[in-house]
Amino acid sequence: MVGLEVLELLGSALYQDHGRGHVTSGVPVSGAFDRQAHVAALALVGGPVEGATLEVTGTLRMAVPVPLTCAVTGNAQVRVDGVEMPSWTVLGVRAGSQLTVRGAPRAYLAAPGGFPVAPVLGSRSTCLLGPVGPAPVRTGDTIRVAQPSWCPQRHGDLALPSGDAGPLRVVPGPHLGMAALTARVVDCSRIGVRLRVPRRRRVEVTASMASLGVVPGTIQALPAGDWVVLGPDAGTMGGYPVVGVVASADLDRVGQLQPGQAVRLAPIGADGVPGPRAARLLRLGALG
Amino acid sequence: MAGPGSRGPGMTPAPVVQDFGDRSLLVEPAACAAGFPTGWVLAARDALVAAFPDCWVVPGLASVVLTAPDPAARPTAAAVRGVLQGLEHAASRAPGRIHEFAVRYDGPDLAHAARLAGLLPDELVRRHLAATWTVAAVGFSPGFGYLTSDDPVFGQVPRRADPRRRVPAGSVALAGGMCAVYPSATPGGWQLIGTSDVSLFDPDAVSPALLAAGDAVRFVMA
Repeated sequence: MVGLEVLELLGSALYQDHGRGHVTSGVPVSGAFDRQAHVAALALVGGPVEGATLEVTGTLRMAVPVPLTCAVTGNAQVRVDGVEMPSWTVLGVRAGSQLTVRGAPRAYLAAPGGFPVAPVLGSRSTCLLGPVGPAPVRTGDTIRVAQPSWCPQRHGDLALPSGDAGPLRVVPGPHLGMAALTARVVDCSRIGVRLRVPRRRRVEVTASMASLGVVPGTIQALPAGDWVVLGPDAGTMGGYPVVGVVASADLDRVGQLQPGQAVRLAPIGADGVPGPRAARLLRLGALG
Repeated sequence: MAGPGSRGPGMTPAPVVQDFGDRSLLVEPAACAAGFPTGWVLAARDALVAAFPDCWVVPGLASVVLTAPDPAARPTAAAVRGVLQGLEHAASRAPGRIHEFAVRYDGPDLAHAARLAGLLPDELVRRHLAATWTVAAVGFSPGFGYLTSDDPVFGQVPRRADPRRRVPAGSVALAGGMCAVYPSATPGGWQLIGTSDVSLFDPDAVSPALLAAGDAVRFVMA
């Protein structure tokens, strides 16, 4: 099977898919942090929906030995032989080219058929806690591609979130309440996103808690005053009090937060949570 | 309707069910006696798994979190309370599997942990060997089991004030009334009292974690 040769990697490139269902064994769910971008990249190249993409944070430069159909989504920059190419569309890359994908913070690279790494516990996702799943990509690796030059059929259009920077919607509680506030992102990983909240909005954390099950999007209050929004590779149990949980529809946006960025949080009720915000349409299968 | 903590004649108070985001519910017993309500948590887990097979049910040390595949599929709080109605606070259930782990009591915190418990190191080891431990919950890292016991002396051993950056795999550790064997090397704040060679997590196995909530563990001298 042919493959893309990794010439340079600054940052990380991890295989990710829809994630795992073994939380009762203490295995994090993992999977793409920005699911919408991951699903869109797969849809652009014709699937399969359960396939793996590469989640790129930083810069991944590859040699392409054969004609390649691919798509890059997320917060991405794409270059072929140094020439900037569009993201969020299907690309045809000529044999002998160099393909560079830059994710700031996360880009998703998909190729037809998905990347055929071996699944572990029903998923091709790399979980950094454990670790579980395929090894992270390294310089010198060959990224195998199932059907490099397959031409995707048109499947219609896909609605995408507009990228609107409205507040992250949070269901408050169960341990502590929260009011609307603006926080600053101080650190990001797939384990969690650390937020510095204004001093007057901090909550006092004293007694240690009996550890409880947690889900991605859970916002924990740390004793030092910062809050952490748990990501897909966070442990399945936590012992810090929970101020709220990010609405499911807004979780993808947590995966695209970057250090230094201001982020608004707005409390909402758990019932009648609205879906994704106003969408734009993505034309599937249109060669760009 | 009976609120949390209210107690009618001969009735078990209803559990407390709260929103935990839009996909999950946090379920807690109405009132907690001293120690961990492990029996109630495990019985509640069993009842919720049977009633809501499409949801993930994750037992914690004093609560259960139920997570639906999407917000629309989440059961109502009333439905959850209905399923758990009448569940006894000290609900007992047959243990799952019974495991025996061989331990070398060579941990760097053994003497310190014994002092905290008001015991000599040999006495702490004897109590650790004598106790029957129940897997109350699984989490923190893949295959990590939180074990609770009926010996209150272990409640006197708190977490370390200064967590270690790396606790070796196989470390047998105590903290806050609990015991655990670290399945893999991770950061950790528990007091290390010994070492075991048991393999707790195998991603290639059908059932990747050796321990499941509800199992029993006995420690023996290696």
